[in-house]
Amino acid sequence: MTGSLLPLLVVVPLLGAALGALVPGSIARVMLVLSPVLTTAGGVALLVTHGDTPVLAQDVGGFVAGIAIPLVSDTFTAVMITVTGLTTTACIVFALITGEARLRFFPTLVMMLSAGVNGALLTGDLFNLFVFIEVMLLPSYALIAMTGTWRRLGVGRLFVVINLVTSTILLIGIGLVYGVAGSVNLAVLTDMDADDPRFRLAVGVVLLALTVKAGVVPMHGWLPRAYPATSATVMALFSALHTKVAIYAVFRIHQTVLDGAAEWMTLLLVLFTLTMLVGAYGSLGERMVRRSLAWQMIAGVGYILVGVGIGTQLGLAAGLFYMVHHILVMGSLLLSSGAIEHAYRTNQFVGLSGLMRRERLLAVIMALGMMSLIGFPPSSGFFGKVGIARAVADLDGFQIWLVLGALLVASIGTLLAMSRLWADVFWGPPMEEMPSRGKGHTEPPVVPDDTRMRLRTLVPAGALLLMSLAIFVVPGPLWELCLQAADGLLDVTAYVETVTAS
Amino acid sequence: MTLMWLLAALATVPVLVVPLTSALGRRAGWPLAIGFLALAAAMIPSARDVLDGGEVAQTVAWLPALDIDLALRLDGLALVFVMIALVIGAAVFLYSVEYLGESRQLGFYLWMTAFAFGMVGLVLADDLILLFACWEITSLASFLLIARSGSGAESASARTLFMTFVGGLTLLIAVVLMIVATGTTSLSQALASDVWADRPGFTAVVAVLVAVAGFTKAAQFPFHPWLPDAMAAATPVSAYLHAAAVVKAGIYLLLRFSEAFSDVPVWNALLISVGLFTAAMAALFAFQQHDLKRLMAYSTVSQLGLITAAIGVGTEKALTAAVIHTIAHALFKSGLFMMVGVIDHSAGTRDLRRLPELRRVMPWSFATVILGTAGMAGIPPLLGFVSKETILGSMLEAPGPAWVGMLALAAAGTGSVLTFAYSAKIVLGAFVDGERELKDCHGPGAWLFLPAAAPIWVGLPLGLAVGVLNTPVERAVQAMGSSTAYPLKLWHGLAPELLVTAAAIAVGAALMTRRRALYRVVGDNFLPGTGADALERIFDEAGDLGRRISQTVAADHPRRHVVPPLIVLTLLLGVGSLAILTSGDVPATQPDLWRPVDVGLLVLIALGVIGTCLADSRIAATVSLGGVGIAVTVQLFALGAPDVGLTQLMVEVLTVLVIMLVLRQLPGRFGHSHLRRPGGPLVLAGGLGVAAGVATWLLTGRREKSVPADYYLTEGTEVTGGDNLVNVILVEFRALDTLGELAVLGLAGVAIVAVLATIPSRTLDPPGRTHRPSLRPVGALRDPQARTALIDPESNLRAFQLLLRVVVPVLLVLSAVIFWRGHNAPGGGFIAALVASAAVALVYLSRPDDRAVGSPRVHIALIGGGVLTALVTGLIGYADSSFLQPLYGTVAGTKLSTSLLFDVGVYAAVLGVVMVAFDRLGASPPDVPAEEPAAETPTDRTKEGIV
Repeated sequence: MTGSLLPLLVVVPLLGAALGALVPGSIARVMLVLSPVLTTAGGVALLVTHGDTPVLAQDVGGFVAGIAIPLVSDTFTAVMITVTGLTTTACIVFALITGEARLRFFPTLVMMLSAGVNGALLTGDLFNLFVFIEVMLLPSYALIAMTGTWRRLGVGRLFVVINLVTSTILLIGIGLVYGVAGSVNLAVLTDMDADDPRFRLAVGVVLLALTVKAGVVPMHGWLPRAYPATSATVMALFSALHTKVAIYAVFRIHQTVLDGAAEWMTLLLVLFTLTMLVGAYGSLGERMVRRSLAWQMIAGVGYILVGVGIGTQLGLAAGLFYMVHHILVMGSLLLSSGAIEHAYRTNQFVGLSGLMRRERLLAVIMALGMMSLIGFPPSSGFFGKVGIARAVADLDGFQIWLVLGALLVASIGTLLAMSRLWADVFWGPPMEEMPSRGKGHTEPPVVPDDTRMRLRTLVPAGALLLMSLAIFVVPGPLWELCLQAADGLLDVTAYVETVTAS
Repeated sequence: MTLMWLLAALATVPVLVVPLTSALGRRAGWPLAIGFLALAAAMIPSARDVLDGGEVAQTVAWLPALDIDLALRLDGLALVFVMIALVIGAAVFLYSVEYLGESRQLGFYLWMTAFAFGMVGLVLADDLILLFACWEITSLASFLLIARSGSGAESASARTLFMTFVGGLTLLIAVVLMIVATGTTSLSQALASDVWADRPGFTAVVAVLVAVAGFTKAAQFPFHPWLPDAMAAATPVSAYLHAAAVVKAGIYLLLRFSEAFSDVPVWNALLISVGLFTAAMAALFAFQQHDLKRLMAYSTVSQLGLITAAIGVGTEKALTAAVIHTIAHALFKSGLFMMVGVIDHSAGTRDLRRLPELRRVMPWSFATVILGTAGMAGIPPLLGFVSKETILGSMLEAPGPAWVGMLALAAAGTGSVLTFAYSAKIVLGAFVDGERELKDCHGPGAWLFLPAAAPIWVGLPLGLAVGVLNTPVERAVQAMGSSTAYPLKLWHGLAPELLVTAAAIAVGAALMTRRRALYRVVGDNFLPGTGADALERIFDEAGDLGRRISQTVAADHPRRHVVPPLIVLTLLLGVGSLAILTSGDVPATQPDLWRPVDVGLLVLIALGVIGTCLADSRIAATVSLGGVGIAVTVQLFALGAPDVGLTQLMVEVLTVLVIMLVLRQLPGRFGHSHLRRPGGPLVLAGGLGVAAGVATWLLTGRREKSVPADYYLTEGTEVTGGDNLVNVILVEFRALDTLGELAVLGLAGVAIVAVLATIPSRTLDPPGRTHRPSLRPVGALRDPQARTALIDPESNLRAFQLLLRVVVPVLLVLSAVIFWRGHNAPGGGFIAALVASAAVALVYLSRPDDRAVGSPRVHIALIGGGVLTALVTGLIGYADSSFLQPLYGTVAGTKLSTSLLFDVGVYAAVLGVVMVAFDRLGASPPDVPAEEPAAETPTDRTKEGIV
């Protein structure tokens, strides 16, 4: 792959989005499947290319470097494009199976979301990052309000307002960066003095906006409220794309522009460990499958960002590895929940029971998914947890105990939350004999007693889970990529040289 | 057979179980038992190497980046545990065939074999991470084995998982600390490291973490409750897990790490005190039980306590004792557990109070249980006697002053008395005492009895000829870093431990002669609750904490969620500004930044914002907001940005119009509740305003022209051929941004249609309301003329419509002109489209009813076509070198750029989205037929329950 092809990763899904609005639905749906497949293929091609060319860059429009908007790819970008592409594919296949993709303009909106994701991952320009985040958000505003329960409409408002405020903060931050540095080009910004308090404050505002998007405590509350109200498919998409792109940008900006400023480290570690803890235990307080999982998303954000807090090669790589793991596993669990909802019309604990004996395959997939989330072998979560713990052990005295202690307590919270979910949904009496059928439910049961899931609704979740298991068996290649990506974040010479030379 | 093959074979067995059980049902135990014995036999060559003093090791890289290997090593210690796992496993499988019910039993065999894999992996692992992975596998497998035993076992299994998981976490922490400190992931190298001697503080911490991990698995106080809890599992599960395997994993860990920690005082103190306390406490609990299986469970806890204490002593003799007692215990306890199953099978109960005098129908079982319990009580000449003697003897070697050893011996002796007592209770209760009649009881079948009895019988010859165990035990002890082992003998002379044993037997026997009184005195349970209750309380507390955490954000109103980011932003800006001010390193501001007009505009904007916030009527708020927009527009003009100003102006006008359309569907008033308590919002708004103001003052307007700005001014026109820099930046230099925003804008129109299509139209426009004028006049409208205007809109609008005949063409021409001149003078596609949109707006407003202006297909075609045009223009750039590269050419004497085509795309999309807004939000009956029926999503029908 060459640098000049990078824009195609944005253009192709965007073309799909524009065409999708014009052509009949059946053709739009074909493009809907093709788009993430092509994205994934592009990501893999990039991964192969980065084996010997560390960075690819393209100045869009062919203008002078530093003036033009650069699209840049390094190993980190390529890993993200590949993994988000894979997960998006799984979500789309699920939407096709459940019929959600037949909603008017669903293909257009999802393809535009993908275009925004690819653009945000590729761009080397802060203002352009803002634009692509908007490109991601606009279809999301519609997607969150299109599918799900009636609450989606009220919650859609919450989602729009919080994101408008956050985008405003992001824009203010980018404006301040330009005010101080006279450029918003990341490669140019690496020349700035990272110790200048003015520059730091400006970048700090940018990072703040991104952490709100990622759901870092104490700015996390909107996420577990908003996401579960939409459909499982859309939530799975958002989980894999929105928070993860924000985290990606935090990794990128914090490392390249601020050189991973050391004196913030303790503050960051405190915030991120708090995020782990609040997410893990918040999950325990919910009585719906996807709400519980939404809190686990927050916990995951904490684990991933601890990698930035550590800031070593191993720390960054461990955070990145955890991110890949989390995207896959969260996708699998959310789509499993989607399959439950497709058959049983609910994801509330009170409406589900005894699924272990009723739905064997679902039980296996979700059990393994939860095990992965907790960090048990044989799943990617095992190496995710081990990697983070191993990287933490390189810290200094007090910080080690802060993070390892939080890791211990948060893991216990996740275990308890998942055990509870399991006990309420998968154990217990058969659905027909549930005690809840009597009290508070005057209507007849929502689904007939002989309801069973269709096998194909579990295929996307199963596929994502298999990837998680495969990573356990052969963790080497992914770790190598993560280490390579971390190197690229720590030593930006190649990045800067390629961008300024292209 | 190499170690890797052994492990691979064990990993394959669970896979084979699926076809095996489907073909043979519960009889799959036969081939599995044979397979396990075959694997044990296949290990004999390697075992011989180990017994000859060597060791067998094999390594395959797993995760080279982190130095994690599939490193396996067979030494004396591992050999003992591998053999226990395989041989006892085989016995249990044989036993299971007869014991289990006549069904497939897939789960049982699957998890048992998975467990065996984890256990063997654990003891062979020579890599710290592999060790941890196998540790977790054993936790999981034991959880699954307990959980599958019916609904009663579910919560018990969850408690077990919790306990072992906590231990797993402390092990993980210990492991990563060890890896960093010793610089190796190899278990054997880490244990031999100098770090342990050099850094006593660190060593103590790691020792405690490892000890806690070991305690959780080996069921030591206060982590013991899971083991009796786990008795809900089927008897073969208990026989394997709770006698031979899972608890022995804990013992293995403690033994393995004693090489590094046996001289660490914390380790000694912790293991000895916890071990002996557990031994005595659990022995007492065991004595209280009526359920034979729970009795066995507590007895296991007690025996493990003794082993733990011996490991804590850490001398050669003590470690020898620990190893030999591990072997002895694995044999007699697995046998006894299975014998409990035999009794259960024969008598239909395992409650000591309900068992008849079984010795009459099952003499062989009687003899076997006597033999087993005798081993447990340490009666010569059984293996249990030898091992227990060694343990008691080793207590005297406890580190510290002599009284410590005496005390330890006394404690262990107390435990021995109780052990003798409950052992006797088993025999007497099950076979001798009992009032129930013997009918319905029958002797066991041979295939149920033999596998259960065999491990117990083996204890007799092994006790008599204990010397044969000397070499394996010595190799095991050597593997823990000791040079030699304590020689095992049946008769050691009149040592103190012999006296203690004799005394224990005497006292125990004396007590049991008065057993009925004793049972009454000791009673059932004198503690207020069980360990399980305590754990459930912890779970409840955690659940409450979780609910509190989720309740703190349980609101769908955006206000709640917007506040935290704004507070953090205020803090960040405030603290950051202070840091800048204290550093004193602030460049001077550029000259000529202040103009008087700014002050006036600032006041106007501020008033407008305050007005918007205070307004109770939605229309008033909209008007006020419009005022703010106009003031901002003026400011843009004042700054000398006519392009941006023009755009802003058009956007403001159209925004107000669109808001008015939406307001038709909303109540007239906000009914502001937050205005009653304005303190918090005011403080936040004020604080954020000040902080943002100071930060803006500090960070902006203090540098020379930026490099890009300089470039645009000096080279911009030359490079692009356009004089209007704003326009060329938008469509050439930063066309990618514009492309993105274009997509955002265009797709906003699509989003409106998409969202509205999912909402049934009757919900948006209830039938009764559709044809009434929905814009209700605000306030009392008594003016008859105004009233007429609403009742008879046709005549009211005539003048307006006439005017439009002139204005619309003018606007369209104007739009075209603005578009054309955009490249060189203020204008461009965006503004031009907004001007055309104004024409659309006027047409809409001139209508007497709220019919749509255009057809829905036209809107979408405009939007889609616009974005497509822009994209295709971008792709044309590839003809030269890059996406979005403008190509220049001269047509009829005018220099043209492909960016003009790009601007056409902008024009179309903007026009399309404005038309969508008017037609979809402003037209009454949504007359857009869905192109295909919107699929009804299942979740649509889901009711929101507990929120």
